[in-house]
Amino acid sequence: MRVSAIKVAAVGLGLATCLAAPVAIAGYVYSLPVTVYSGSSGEFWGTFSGARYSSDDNQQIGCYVTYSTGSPYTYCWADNAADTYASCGTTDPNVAALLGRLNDSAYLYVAYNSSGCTEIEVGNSSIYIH
Amino acid sequence: MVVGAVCAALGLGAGIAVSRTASPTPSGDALRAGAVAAPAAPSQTIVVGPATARLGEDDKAALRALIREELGAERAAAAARADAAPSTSADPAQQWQLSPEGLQAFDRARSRVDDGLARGAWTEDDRAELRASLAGLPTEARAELVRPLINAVNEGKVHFAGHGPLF
Repeated sequence: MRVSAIKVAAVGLGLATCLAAPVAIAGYVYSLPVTVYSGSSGEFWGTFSGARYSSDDNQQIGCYVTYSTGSPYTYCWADNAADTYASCGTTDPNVAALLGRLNDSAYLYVAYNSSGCTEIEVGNSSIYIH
Repeated sequence: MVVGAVCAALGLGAGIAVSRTASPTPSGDALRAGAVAAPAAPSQTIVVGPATARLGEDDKAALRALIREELGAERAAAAARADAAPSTSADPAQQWQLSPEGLQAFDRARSRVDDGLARGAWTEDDRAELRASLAGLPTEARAELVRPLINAVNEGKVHFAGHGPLF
């Protein structure tokens, strides 16, 4: 009898652990859609996961950097749910160094004018991971 | 003796006066002005030279204003040309020391961008071709080539019918 009671208790604890586990690993999630203000000067921002898991098939945001003779060239772009597109480039090597921080937990903000990107901000947070 | 000295002095003074009047004008402008004004006898050239040097204050002010106006207009025109077409203002081969192959790639890329701007549309095929042409070009040349395309899409003058980067 005592053994049975222990077994029941162990099974109960196991079930409780399994049921509680999904709640314990969720954490706070913030879904940020891609936002674009285009024009001769403008800005765009969003999270990688927010764009990737959005309900439409337009949203996207990203950057890449290429190296050739001279300095690196960084190019960033975004497209929102309404298919408004904006992009910019820069040869600033400091910006290229920022791109190493872009991943699934990344938030990206970019401002630009007709000369190119004027400001690029990269943030990382658990809240952006879906 | 005294009369002779006075006569000599008078003669010398007269000689100096004559030589001053008859000497050619030292100013090149005066010479050109004389030539344009009247291809006349030397005596007339002598008159025109000093006359040019004696511009009135009003004339000088007007001349300065005219020069300032001309210089200002030229500076404004040069700035406008630089804003309108920076990529065509210099020879890319010299500017970025492109090889013959590099120059061909540069021209292909510029032609593709110009075509997209003229059509008002940019496709993923355009992107693929532009990427191929940009490969191997110096960074500054790439930036120069793609800037008009980026700006046109940002301003809504060219529609990108695709996903992802423009190039």
